[in-house]
Amino acid sequence: MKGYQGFQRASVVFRAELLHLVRDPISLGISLFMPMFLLFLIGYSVNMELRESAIAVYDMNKSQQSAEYIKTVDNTSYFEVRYRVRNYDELLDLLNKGVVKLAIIIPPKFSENLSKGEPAVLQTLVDASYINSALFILSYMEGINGAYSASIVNNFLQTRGHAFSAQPVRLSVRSWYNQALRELTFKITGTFSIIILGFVPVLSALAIVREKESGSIQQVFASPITPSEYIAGKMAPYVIFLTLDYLFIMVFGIWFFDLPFRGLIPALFAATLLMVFSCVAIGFFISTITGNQLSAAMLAIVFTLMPALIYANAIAPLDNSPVGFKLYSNLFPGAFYTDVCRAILLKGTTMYEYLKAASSLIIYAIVIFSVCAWRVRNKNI
Amino acid sequence: MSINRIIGLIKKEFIQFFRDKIVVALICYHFVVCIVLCGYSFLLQAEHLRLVVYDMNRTEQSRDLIDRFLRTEQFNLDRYAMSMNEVRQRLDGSRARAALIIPAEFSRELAKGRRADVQFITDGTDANQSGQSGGYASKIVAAFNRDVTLTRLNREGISLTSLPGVANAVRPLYNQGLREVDFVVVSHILVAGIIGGLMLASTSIVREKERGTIDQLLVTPTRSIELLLAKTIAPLMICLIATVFSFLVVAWFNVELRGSVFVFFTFMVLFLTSMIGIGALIGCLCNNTLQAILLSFVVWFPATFLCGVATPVENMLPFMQVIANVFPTTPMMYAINAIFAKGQGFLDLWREALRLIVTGGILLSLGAWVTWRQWKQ
Repeated sequence: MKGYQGFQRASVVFRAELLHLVRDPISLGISLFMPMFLLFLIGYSVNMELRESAIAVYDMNKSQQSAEYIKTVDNTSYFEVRYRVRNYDELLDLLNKGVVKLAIIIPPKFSENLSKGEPAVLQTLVDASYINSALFILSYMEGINGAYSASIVNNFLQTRGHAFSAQPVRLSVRSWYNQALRELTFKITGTFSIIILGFVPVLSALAIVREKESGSIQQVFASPITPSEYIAGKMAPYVIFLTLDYLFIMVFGIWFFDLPFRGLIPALFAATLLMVFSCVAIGFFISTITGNQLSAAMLAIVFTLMPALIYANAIAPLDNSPVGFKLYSNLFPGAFYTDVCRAILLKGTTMYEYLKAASSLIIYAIVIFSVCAWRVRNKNI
Repeated sequence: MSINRIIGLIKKEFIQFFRDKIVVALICYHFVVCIVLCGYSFLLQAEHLRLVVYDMNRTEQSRDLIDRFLRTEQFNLDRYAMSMNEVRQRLDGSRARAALIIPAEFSRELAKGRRADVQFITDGTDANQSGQSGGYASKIVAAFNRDVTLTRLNREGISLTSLPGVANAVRPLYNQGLREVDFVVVSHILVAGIIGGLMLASTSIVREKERGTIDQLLVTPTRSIELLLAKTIAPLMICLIATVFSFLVVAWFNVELRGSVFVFFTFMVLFLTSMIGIGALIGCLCNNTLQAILLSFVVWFPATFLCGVATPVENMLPFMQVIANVFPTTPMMYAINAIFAKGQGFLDLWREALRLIVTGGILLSLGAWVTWRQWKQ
């Protein structure tokens, strides 16, 4: 792209692409507002609080002690003892039908054991087919039992006149930074990556492949415009529009969900610009591989969105994954961008984490741009 | 309506599908490779969490407590910190996911029969992990407490071997080993079905409009209803064949199918019909491929997130639960899980089947009506 004439040619393409965008209000509307919609969807739905989960109890003991225990469980906000059954088959039936996910069987010798100072074992049946709920429910149940056991032992010791408490060691479990807030920040910053990776590559890939498919790309080849000027002109509207759009969405999201913000807005802007640029470049790269819109779109999804869900450090942290996955995630800018956002939001821009992630993002942008330039130079457009 | 014409059109769809090697490869990817990847990477159970330990007491008792943590599979030692700052650093930098802090007076308090306070700090970044690790820590300390109390009682001359308390004997149903892989694999077959159904159906309709070949088709003796049928049956067949390949993944991970394959495929057909119905609707409403893809996304995202794959539906806020139940993905998720894990059949799952039939019926009729309006001669 040399000289003023080159710039003129590129700006012609720029204007043409802008017109394309504006004349397709449906696509424009979707790509501008869908990310926002997605942000809210994930923000509200990925909330794993257990609430009044229905459980069934089969009380074979029927004593005051067992009734007290049932009441303790019922009183928590996590569980609601909705079904008291008379026999084992009823219990299994409720579990089979998915009406309850957890069922407790109180053995006949429950109160006897406790008053004799022996442990009482409750049979707990849990529906493990939805494994994520099962794990949750079990850990809450254990917490409740732990607390109840502690109070029993206390009573036991006091009635026998011992001076010491049943809890020699008191554990205080805390999570640093407001836990709910940190989780929300984690998920929302992950979502930022997902929404950019989800839409930008598809849009930019289809922008060029559309012309390939309809054959009008031949006219471009026949004109004096060089490939680099063409790419620059085509991509610029997307980079500009989408960066502004996503920046707005991000700021809105941060405001709406009340997330902390310890960094600087220009840093966020720069990071978003780099991320959008990288994604546009990815889309462009995809467009050099195929000439068919459907395959371009599916390639874009498969190699950007789907990995983003797993590898962009978004829904689940990458730290516990195998090394191979961590390496694979470096192929996409998603993880870098998520880390940069998290650093900006939680830690401020002078921290080591921010600098590390930001430089990774810059390097990525440079690399992907070089790859595209290489493809263009080999006239592979 | 001529069956021959429909068959001919279906053949055309297949030819066009196979002409595009990349799309073929991607369908294979979604139904096979992607599921394998997810099977290996979606790990929910918190294990091998790195624990940074700040032991200010350094006696046999504190080492005993620390040992109990490190002996489990849930915690691995990150390092022994020398100061609170170091603890903070390790947590901040995500080098450790949890911290155990034992005060200097630990053993002294225990010896005097008083209460000793121990701090356990979790990284709240992943609520799932931090909740579970907090739970493990409580369990470990509870066991420690029991032992200490028993020792104290023994010292006072009371020989007890156990203390009263309530314990759970957990019996996981339908999934004895609490394997997560089964759920992940099964749910991703569903996700692949969503993508395949939506994309193939919508793009096959939009393609004709974009290329202008729709006019050529309408000039032929083909009726628009036949065209619509062909464009819905072809993706259905392709996705079903792809699902057969998914069973290879099912076998690879040793996921048990307790129900019948026939029931599974019937539900798959019903579900794919709904998805293809939505896809056809999208295809009729859009004018070019880009719009079709973007609209498919609009449907795909909520359908996937709200169907119970990531979060159980009961845990969602009430208004989200309502939205979740509108999508056909939610009953399908429940049904497919029940078929694999519980081995249920039509008798148990008739409600879900009915929902899928009704949704599919409505969507297809809507698609047919819109198509007829657009293409009527």
